Amino acid sequence: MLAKQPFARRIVIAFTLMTLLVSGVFSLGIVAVVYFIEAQLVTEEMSREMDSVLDEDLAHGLPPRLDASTRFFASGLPQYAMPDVFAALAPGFTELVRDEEAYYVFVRDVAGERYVLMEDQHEFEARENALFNVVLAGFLLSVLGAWVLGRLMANRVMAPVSRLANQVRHRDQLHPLAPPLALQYPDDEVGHLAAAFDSTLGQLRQTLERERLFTADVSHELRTPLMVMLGACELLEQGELPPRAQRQTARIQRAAQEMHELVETFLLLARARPEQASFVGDASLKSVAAEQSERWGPLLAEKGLTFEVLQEGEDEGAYNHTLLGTVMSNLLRNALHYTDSGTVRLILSRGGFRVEDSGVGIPLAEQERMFQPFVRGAEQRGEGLGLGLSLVKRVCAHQGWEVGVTARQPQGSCFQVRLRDGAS
Amino acid sequence: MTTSSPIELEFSRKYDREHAYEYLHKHQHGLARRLSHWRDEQLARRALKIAGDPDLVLDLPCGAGRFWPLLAEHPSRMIFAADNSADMLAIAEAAQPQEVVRRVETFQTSAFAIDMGDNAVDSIFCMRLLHHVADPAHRLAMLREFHRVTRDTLIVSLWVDGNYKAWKRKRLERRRPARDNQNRFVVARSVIEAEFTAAGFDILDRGDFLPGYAMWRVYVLRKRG
Repeated sequence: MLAKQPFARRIVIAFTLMTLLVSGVFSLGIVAVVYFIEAQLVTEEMSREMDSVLDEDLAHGLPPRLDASTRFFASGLPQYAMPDVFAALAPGFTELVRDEEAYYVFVRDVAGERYVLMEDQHEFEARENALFNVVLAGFLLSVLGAWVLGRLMANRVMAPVSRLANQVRHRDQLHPLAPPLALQYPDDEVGHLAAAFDSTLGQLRQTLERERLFTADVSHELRTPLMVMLGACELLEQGELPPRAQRQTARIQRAAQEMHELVETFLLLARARPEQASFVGDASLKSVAAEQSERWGPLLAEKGLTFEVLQEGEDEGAYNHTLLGTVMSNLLRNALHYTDSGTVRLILSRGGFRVEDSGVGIPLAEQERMFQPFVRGAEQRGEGLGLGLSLVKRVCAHQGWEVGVTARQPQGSCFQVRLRDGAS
Repeated sequence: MTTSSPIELEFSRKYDREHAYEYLHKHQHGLARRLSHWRDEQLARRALKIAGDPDLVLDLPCGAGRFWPLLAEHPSRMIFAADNSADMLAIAEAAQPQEVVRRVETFQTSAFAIDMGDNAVDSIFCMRLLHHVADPAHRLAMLREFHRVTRDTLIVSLWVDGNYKAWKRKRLERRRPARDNQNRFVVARSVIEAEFTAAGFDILDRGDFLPGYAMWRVYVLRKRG
């Protein structure tokens, strides 16, 4: 039970249980001692009384001088006739319950005769009960006290831990200039924890920064050779080439162009700071769509697919040319790879666009996973590492766009990108 | 970050260099001013303690930086100070002690669109701004912006009702309609507390400048969830 409770409550429970045990043992001890002493004292007193009755009163022929609550019986004296119950008792002190009243009974055998003193317990019992009440009250009070004290202590003891727990929440988003946590704590367990957290977060930030720089560097360095390749392809095209070589040149040019755009996208993403607003747009949805359909249309036709561009609504937004192009071309490439026959549609609407295909579709369970890096459809086809959709997702997250996928009936899937709010 | 045009209020345009300079000296003259500043500091210190001694604080609006020495009392605290007026920032940096200014990072921003990421600071320390905002929609927009930027707590001071001064002010206004250039407003306690809740804050503490008499009240709020 203890292990599942919050920390502070565990301290309170431990405190209370401990007190329950200790004061319980003490209380039981007091009760036992009271019984023991009661027997001792009453025996002593009644024995003295019996002595005085036998030696002083009866010896002088007087009636026994006793207080109102005590009665005298003797087996040899008819005026003090003894009830039968006393005959079976052992000599000495006994407690006896008779007619729902408790009595002390003191039995003494002298020369074959049995003398009995019987005393009502009323008086003593009242005191005894008072004592037991005090013990019970003390017990309850100490348990209650322990609970209260436990709560106070637990809050005090837990204060640094709760404070630290509160401080580490969302700490990754805190401004990098924030002073380290460890400065505020003494050099104890909590302080070590804070220091460990500081250093881990620092390392994480460094790693992220390094990764960002690396991506930026690589993208930047790749740009120059790519431009050389593209330029060379253009020059080749102008020369007289056999048709076979022309086809290959066109392929090289297309690939280099694609690579160039990817590099631009990565560079943009890597240079972007999280707090920076999205890039200023300079291209309309329509122009990007026209460009992309010009590029992917022939390839889709080559594979025997019907490609349609539909316009459902006018959109007057301005978007970043490179990023929107990357998103659209990745979705179209995806449609190309996963569709064997049928139609691929690019549907432009107000504030967004859809890419519908009649391909293999994506099972419901995989739809979420599709946007993670290096995850590919169950039927792997075409080249690629499965980075396309994850890049789409990253671009969208960066620009504040929304991307989703739904299944189409009877087969195929529909990728939907929302560029602006308030439009479908 | 909001892309809509940021809210700009009339009162914020008056803080040019000359006004800022006056403002700096406003709290240094006269026994009453000095006493009131002392009480302001007392309330602020208490509020910071209740807010758990935050170590990354955004002082917005910082004005002439009169709370910087107080904020810098915490040995490891980092202070961001922002104001809508660049003149005010310049005055503050020139006027406050060097060892304090060294621990303060200043920038110019509007309280309706703070130039910082989400959860960027431990606490926002917003003294004497909210009572300039009359429109509940503007107040809510500002509180929402605070909710976005703070990671944990918000300390705000404003004028509330339920005291002698507010009652007197109301009586005065009934007799003589408020002037057009009025730029400070009293908000009912129940109203502002409902607005705090609506913006996603829980109330940790309320501190009155002079209970029952003055209108100033400092609220310590904690971001919910």
